[in-house]
This record gives sequence, structure tokens and C-alpha cells, in this order.
Amino acid sequence: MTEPTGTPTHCPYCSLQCGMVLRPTDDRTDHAGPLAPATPTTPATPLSVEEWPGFPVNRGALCGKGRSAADLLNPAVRLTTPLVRDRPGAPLRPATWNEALDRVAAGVRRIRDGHGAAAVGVFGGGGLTNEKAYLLGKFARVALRTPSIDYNGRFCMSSAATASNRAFGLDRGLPFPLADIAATDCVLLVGSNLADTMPPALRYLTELTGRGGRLIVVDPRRTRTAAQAHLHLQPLPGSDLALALGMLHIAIEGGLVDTEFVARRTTGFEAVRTIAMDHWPTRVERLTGVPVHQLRQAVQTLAAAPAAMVLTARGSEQHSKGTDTVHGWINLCLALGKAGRPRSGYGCLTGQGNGQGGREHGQKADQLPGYRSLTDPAAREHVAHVWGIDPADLPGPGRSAYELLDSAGTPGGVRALLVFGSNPVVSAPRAAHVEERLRALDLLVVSDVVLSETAALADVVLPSAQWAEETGTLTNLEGRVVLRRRAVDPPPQVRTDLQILSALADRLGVHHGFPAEPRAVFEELRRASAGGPADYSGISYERITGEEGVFWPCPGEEHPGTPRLFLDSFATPDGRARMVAVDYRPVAEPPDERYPLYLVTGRVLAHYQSGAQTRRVPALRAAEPGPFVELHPHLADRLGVAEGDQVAVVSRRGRAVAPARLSTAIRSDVVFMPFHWAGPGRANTVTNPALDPLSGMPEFKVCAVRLEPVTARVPDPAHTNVRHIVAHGEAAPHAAAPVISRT
Amino acid sequence: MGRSVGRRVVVVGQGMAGARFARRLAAWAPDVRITVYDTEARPGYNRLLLTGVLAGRHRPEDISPPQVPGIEVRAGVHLVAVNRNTRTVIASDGTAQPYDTLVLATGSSPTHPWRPGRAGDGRPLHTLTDCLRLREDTRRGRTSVVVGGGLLGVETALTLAARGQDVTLVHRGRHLIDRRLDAAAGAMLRAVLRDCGITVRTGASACAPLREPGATGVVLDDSSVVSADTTVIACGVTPRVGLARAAGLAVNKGLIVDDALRSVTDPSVHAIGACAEHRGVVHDTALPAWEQADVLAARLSGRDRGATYRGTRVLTRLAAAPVDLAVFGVSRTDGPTTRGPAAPARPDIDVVCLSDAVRRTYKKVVTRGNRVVGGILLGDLSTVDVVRRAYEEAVPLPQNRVHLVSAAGAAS
Repeated sequence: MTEPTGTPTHCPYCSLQCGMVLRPTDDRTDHAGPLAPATPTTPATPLSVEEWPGFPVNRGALCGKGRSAADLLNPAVRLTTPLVRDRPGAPLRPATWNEALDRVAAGVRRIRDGHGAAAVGVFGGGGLTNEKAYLLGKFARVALRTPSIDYNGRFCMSSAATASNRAFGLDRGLPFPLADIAATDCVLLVGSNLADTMPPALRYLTELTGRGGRLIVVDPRRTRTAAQAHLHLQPLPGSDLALALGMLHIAIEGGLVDTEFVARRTTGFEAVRTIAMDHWPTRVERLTGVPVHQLRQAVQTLAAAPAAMVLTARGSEQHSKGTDTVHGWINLCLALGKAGRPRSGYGCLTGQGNGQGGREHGQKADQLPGYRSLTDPAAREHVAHVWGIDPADLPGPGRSAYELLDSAGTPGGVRALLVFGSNPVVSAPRAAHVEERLRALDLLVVSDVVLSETAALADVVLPSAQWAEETGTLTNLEGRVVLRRRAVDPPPQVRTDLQILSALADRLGVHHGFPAEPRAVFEELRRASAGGPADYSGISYERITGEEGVFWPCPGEEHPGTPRLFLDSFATPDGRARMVAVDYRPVAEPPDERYPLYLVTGRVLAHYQSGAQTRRVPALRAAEPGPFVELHPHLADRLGVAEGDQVAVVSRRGRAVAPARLSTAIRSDVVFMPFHWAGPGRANTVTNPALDPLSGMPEFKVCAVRLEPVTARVPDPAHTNVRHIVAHGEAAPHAAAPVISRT
Repeated sequence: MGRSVGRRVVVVGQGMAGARFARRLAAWAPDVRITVYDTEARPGYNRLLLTGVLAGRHRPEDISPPQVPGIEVRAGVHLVAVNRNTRTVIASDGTAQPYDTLVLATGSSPTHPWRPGRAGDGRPLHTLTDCLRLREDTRRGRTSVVVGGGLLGVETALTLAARGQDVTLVHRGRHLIDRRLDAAAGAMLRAVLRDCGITVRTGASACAPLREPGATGVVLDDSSVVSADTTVIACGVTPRVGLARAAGLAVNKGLIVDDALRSVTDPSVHAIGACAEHRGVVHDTALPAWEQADVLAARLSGRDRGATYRGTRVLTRLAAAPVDLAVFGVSRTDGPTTRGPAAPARPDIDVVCLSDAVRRTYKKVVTRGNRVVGGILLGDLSTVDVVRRAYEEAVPLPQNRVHLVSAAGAAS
């Protein structure tokens, strides 16, 4: 493969971190690759996205989001100057960087003096580079000296992370390269619609089935991914743990447990078996809705495969019992002996672009760089030494993401919040309440590329550079550390997050230790992570470039990195995987007479997370202009709802209104809403903030609702803030979405 | 849970209901003293999995959950009396135990068609002891006869056939599981059993054990004989309510309880499982027993003092390969009978039925108005969940009801 000309880099969106090449637009005619941009780029877009066939994760393939990513560079859709609000209720107005940063520093000092350091909070994001995530954690603990830091990754894969750490002693999304999926014999894919959420990964499943491998998909909806499966199990939302326990029961009853593997490489099976015995097939059929013959078929297929993988994603994890549910799947995987050997294992399909690296380097409430624990004295000692501070000055663990947001503006809670690369007004559960809490803050600062719904509430908005404009590493779902490279200069009044943190630390009196250069930050991160579970000490920008990324742990420059984990032993003290005894429990909010339906929230092909970026890309907005409520024709018939009718999804926490989209791909007792939109169609207005006791994950995936037909169009009060400065906002308000007609 | 400090709860029986209740209560109210009496001198076990033990799918020790701290189990000790005035139970070993709350989970006893006298007269498959002896018997012998063609009889016959036994199933009804199945489903089931090598004799009552030198088996009411090395009795069960009756508690078929699962006679006495009669119904299957156990444990632990049991609409399932069967509610529409519920001839009763003799599938859903009130799914359970939700949750049906019997119909 020839080395691409242009700038090889990685997509701004999901955890695949697909390779792509950016080339100046006016240059394109000279070097046009085989792939023309799929979307018409505006003249203001300085770069075009082209394929990078040599990068192993996506081998040149890109989805519509990746192909159109250069549209985000259009000055018309992004922030190009700092904004400040002179008083509560006043509109945001342009400001200089000095004014904006001074406002932040003065506000932080005032609140710290008045309410203590813990009253200043930081909220990060899983899209931030490793360098930013690292420096943000350091900024909170060293410059702000606050325990109050967490990030939106808590809403992403925290349940899988918690379970993996407990079971394997280590949390890396996939313990093998993505391409291994094509080479195994059976994949049990739970709660992932990767055909829509990470389309370039679909090829590995297609290759698998093309080779004669089997694909089993577990999803309450018959998604595009489920439609590819040999067997689709369609359980009731929130019943996956019962499903996993029932499958283990069938494996035990059928003599399919790999007793030699269990004895040699695991601990805890006896207690796990006891609970599995309580989940006999006909009981599990009733709990999950999956017929017994399908349960048996799934287990037999999985067990018969010489090698197999169990992969989970948000569908199984975003529950108040998400950690236990992941343990259920890990236990099944271990009992069948499908882990710790080639082409086999449990993996989590991480969601956000740097969902993996973002959880390793210290923006998590309980964590220090290198995936170290903030409560481990040795870890504190090590990191404090790298940071040149006394370990005693390191704050302890803080609140998890939802608890942090919920505390905003309350006695004992945070009074100032600095948000970097996150849009919780759209992405947090019980979002109307979260929005209210953010409005109650004394100081809200948002650093982002676009004027997100959260930025629109801020007192100070800091325009930050984006993916193509800055260099930095990310760690994809495989644990492969990749390097994004600066391909174009940011607009003059835009700064990188590292520059922002450096300047703020300086204003807060910390003049050293906050370099604005990514390479300098990465070098420090290497030292800080050395010896930790996620050891990056042997990884350098040069090695990443030369080796198509480097897999952590990589504890030395001579170390080759670790593409495949656990082949000899697991990362626990005794080297054995721990089977954790978990029992089924019902959803936090079961349906009842007033709220008789289940709501499932999720994603669509054209959009990414809170939609702050993708809703501003014309081609993506055209493909999916607004939210919708997916429901079965039988349910629609019962409610007298026709395709395209506005319907309200109502829970105990609020209502979301969107047009109905009828589909037989969904159970008739379940409705689905994508959560990418703000305003009246904001799905998270409705969702339940019941938290997983171990991971802090909210129950995004299931809550009890009722549907109400809506006749009149609802006005859009949530967007008043945006309209003050519509030039910086979206090109077209999306909220009062027209009725979508679909053929 | 402060209010429950020092409360003494006595549980009688550690079958499905009693064991589940005790474990839940211990978890939710660690301060409650729980004493469980059980007539069997062995640790509790999951009765539902006995056919799995007989089939060799489960080891006996695997169906017994480990002891839970906080529960005192007095295995092999049965109660001889309840003194409700002093709130004391008297045990077979002569000890007396005071209680604040008494939970009767005595379950049921198998019905015998004759008084068993000697080995070879047949044994039920009701306890783990029964199960282990049957397993031993069928290791020695080659032929078995199962007396009773209800759900348990059919499951037992299938299990024994899978173990290589030459099995005859004798049933006095006109067709198999005639309390629940209509004649067409019964005939289809018979064909499936025949495919498994099981000889089915319906309309024939076994009236006595065969007691001839060197021969065991059963004698039928037409004087014919079925010889078999092993005889299994599967003639149904009756609620075990002797203790309750002797204690002066109101008993009909079972001990009569209200929605709080309290005896209507004495609010300190509760009953759950197959010995309890709730709203005129004795639920003798595992899932209602667990629901009752969970409700009662929630009430008594204080976790949810207002929890009530309002009955269980449940599909009866038999998933013993190659038989896959669900039957529920008003499932028989083939005329009046004295055995089991049959749909009365009413104009608003409608039936969606799909029968395929070649594939041995039979699917029938009975509707009244726009509600599912019963049905049978045999051989193809692909729509079991849709049917179950429609029946259990009484959701109104769409005009077109093909989806109830055909997965392809879901797209309509």
C-alpha cells in the first residue's frame, strides 16, 4: 500500500477511529483519489476527506458521517469567537479571549473562596484526545484542587468498564484487534446496532458469515444489524441479564460448560452456577420474551463454535443493572471457555471517539492516569510525583456524572462547572432537570467547537479547535493508540483545549505543568501512565505513525505493544478470570397502568451522540432531519396514530414530541426514540436517571412511558437562547421538524 | 426495617415457594429469625429440575442451592400441630417453636391410584428421593410404564424414552393432557410421542399394580396388562393442607388466603405455593409460587408493605425436546366436558387456528371480543411471546390476528 499524500488522520466521530486522509480542497483536482467526497462541500470547507486504504481498522471504508466530516470546518456552523453573557438572561455576545478567560478565572476564584474548591466542577468528554483528557484531570486536581470531575463516558461504557475490571483485572474494550472478528467462528452481539452506529465495522461480521461463521444478535428491535444475523433474539428491554443467566443454565444442563477451562482459568463458578440454576428455560422465556427453542439454539451455536466472541454495547450496558448484566455475559463466555484464547473473548464495543482513552487518563471521578485508582496510595504517590505535588494534596474521588450534574447549584453541590466537549443538556438522562440544574449554576463555562445546547446556556463560551486542526492521540475500541494530525490551521479566534487549560491554569496561579503543546503533554502522560494497567510509556508519536497505531499496554520502547490480551493469563492477581455471581432484577421502572410501554433510546445512522456536530452537516441533516418515535403498526392502530402523526412520549419525568414512524421491526410493547436532538423531541427529557450502583450508569435504555397523540404543533421554547445569535448556531432550526414521509 | 427486629418467622416446607420465600426474606430483612421445617431429611432443592436430574442433565447436588445465613433449616422434621392461641408450632421431634408469623408452604402430595404396598408398585416423581430411586430403577430395567398422561406424565415419559427406556404411557382420558388440550392437539402430541418410541394408551385406567411372580407393571381396567420394570405414577397432586385444617384454618381445596396471602381465618398465618388457594385458584406451578413468595417477602420485610398478589395469568409450558408446548386459559373449544375449562359456545368467541400434521405443529388462539383468553401452541413456539403478552397483559388485539399464530403475520 502506498503512503497517502495529504494528511493521514482519523475520523472525528466514533470509537473505530477510522483512518482517513485530509487534503486541501483547492488541491483536490490534482490528487483526486478514487473516492470523491460523498457530500457537496461548501466553498468554505478547506479540506476534503479521502480514503486511507492502508489503515487496518477500516481499510479505506468510511460512513456518511466520516465522509462529510469536513463540513464541520465550515465557519458558518461553528464558533469562531469567545462569547460571554453579561448577566443572567442577557444574550451571549462576542468577547476577546482575555475577557473571556478573565471572566472564567475570576468566577472560579470567587466561587472557590466562597464555597470551597469542591464547588468548582469539571465535566469532560469521551471525544477529547488522550492529551486533553489527561490535562483536564490534572487541571481539576492540581489547578482547581477539586474532586468534582467526571465526564460523559460515564453515560457510555462505564458498566462494561466496571465489569471488565472486576472480571479480568483490566478494561480494554476489545482484547483483540477488530479484524479478529472476521476470523472467529461465532459472534454473540448484544445490544449493538453497529450497521448504523459504526458502519465500517460491519464488514468484519460480513466476512465472518461469508466464511461460514455464525452471527447471533440480541436486540429488542430488528435493526439492520439484527437482520444480518442467523439468529436474532428479541428480548424485552432490560431483560438481558435474565437472558444471559438462562443461556448459562442451558449450557450447564446440556453439558456444554468447558469444565477444564473453568477449573484452570477462572474462579467463582460455583456461586454463578447456583444462580443460573434458578433461571430455567421456561422462566427465562417469560422474563425475556425469547422462546425456549431460540435460547437453546443460541447456546448450542455458541458452544459448538471452536472459537467465539461475546460482544456487548450500550443496549445491554445502559441500565441500572448494566454492570451485573455485563458480568452475566462474561460469565457465559467464560463458562463456555470462549475467552483467553485466540479468536475468542468478551469485548465491549466502545462508543465515543476516545471512549477508551478518555476513561484511562484521569477525567473520571475516581481515577488517575494509566487507569490507576484515585484511592490507591501507590497510584497517588506515583502520579503526585510526576505532577510535582504532595500526594496529600490530591483530592479524593468525586461524584459520578449524573450525580455531579444533579448537584449543580444546590447546597453542597458544584456552583461552577467547566464543560469540555460534552453536551449534557441533550445527552444526560432526565435532561430537562439537568438543564434546570445547569441554569442554577453561578458560572457555566463551555468549551466546544459548535454552539451546542449546553453552550447556549453558558456564561462563557470558549471556541475550541477541532479534529482536523490539532494533533493528539486517541485510543480506539481495540486499545490501539492512534494519532490525529493537524491538517489545517484553526480560525484565528479559535484555540485548542490545551491552550485554554494552559491559560486558565496560569490565571489561577499555576504557571508550570500545563503545556499547550500536545507532544509535551503526551510525553508527560507516558510517564504518568508508566506501571499502571493502561501503560503508555513505550508509545510515541513516531511509533504510532510507523506501526499503524500501538496497542496498550506498552510498558517500554522495546515492547511491541499488546494487540491480544489474556492469552496466557488474565490481569487479576492470581491470573484467573473472576466469575462474579449476579442475579436478575427487574428494570428500575417497570411499565404499569399509567405508563404501559417500554421506551428504548438509541442512535441512527446519520447522527452521532448529542448531534451537536452531525445536525450541522447538511447531508446528514437531510438524511435524518429530526427525531421520531418508532412504533409497531399494531400499537399505532390501537392508539389511532398514523405514520407521520405527532405523538408525545410521556414518562414521569417529562414528555418528548416527535412524528410517528411505523415499523414492524419493533415489539408492539416497546417504542424507540433516537436521542440526537434537543427541543421538544429530546428523548432524554423522558429517560430515567436511576443509576447502576457500581458504575454510575443511568438507565438510558429503558423506562416506562405512555404515548399520546398530539394534534397541534408544539412551539420550541428550548431554542430561545440559540436564536439570539443564530449566526453561530445551526444553519436551520431543526426542532419544529416537518413530518417525515418515508417510502 | 427497624420494626421487624426480633420477629420470628416459621416457614413450613422448603419446596419452590418456601425456599424462595425464605431466601428473599433473609436477604431483605436480615434481622428476622427464620426457621424452616421440612419433612425431607436433605437440603432444599429446586423441584422443577427433577426431570433434569432424572434425564442426567443435572447433578443432584447442583439443584440444591447452598445454605443462606440467617435461615435455620430443620430438615427431616415435620410439624405435628399448630397452636394458634399461643402462636407455637409443635414439631415431630417434640420441640415447640414460637412464631410471630407462620408461613405454610407445604406444597402438595402426589395422588396415587392405589395404595402402594411394595417395591415395584410404582412411585411418583415428586421428591429428589423419588427421582434418585427412579434413576436407579431405570438403570436396572429396560421398560417403564407411566400412569397418567397429564403434563408431568408426558414430560416423564419423554425423559425416560430419552434415557433409552421402552416406555408405555397410560392415560384414562380420551386424549393426552385432556384437561387442557383439545382433541386435535392431543392427537398431534400423541403422534410426537409415538415418534419418540413411546406407546400411548388413552381411555385406559390403570387400576392396580401387577403383582405376579417375576413380573411388574400395571393392570388396566379392561384387565389387560402392561408389564414394565419401572412404574411411575403421574396422576396429579392435591394440596397438602392437613396441618392447616387441624389448626382450624379455613380450607377449601387449599388454605384460603387473601391478596396479602394471609389466611382469612388468622392474619398471623400465611400460605404460598401449591397449598394455598387464592381467589378460588390453587396455583401449583413454579412461577406463581415464586411470585407469591416475592410478594410475601416484600410485605413481611417491609421492603413493600403494600405488596399484594392478584393472581397469575400464566402460560403452562412444557419444553422437553422434541415436545414444545404452551397451553393457557380457555384452550378447549371442542364441546362441553367435565374436565378442565372449555370455552362456552358464545358468539363473541373466536378461534384462530393453524394446524400442520406434517410438521407436527398446532397453534390455536381463542379470543373473546378483542382479548386473548386462551390457546395452545404445539411444535412451533415462534409466536409464544406475542401470545403471552396478549394473554397475560390483556392488551387489545388488532383486527388481523394472524400474527398470533404466524411470525410472518407480525408484519401485517
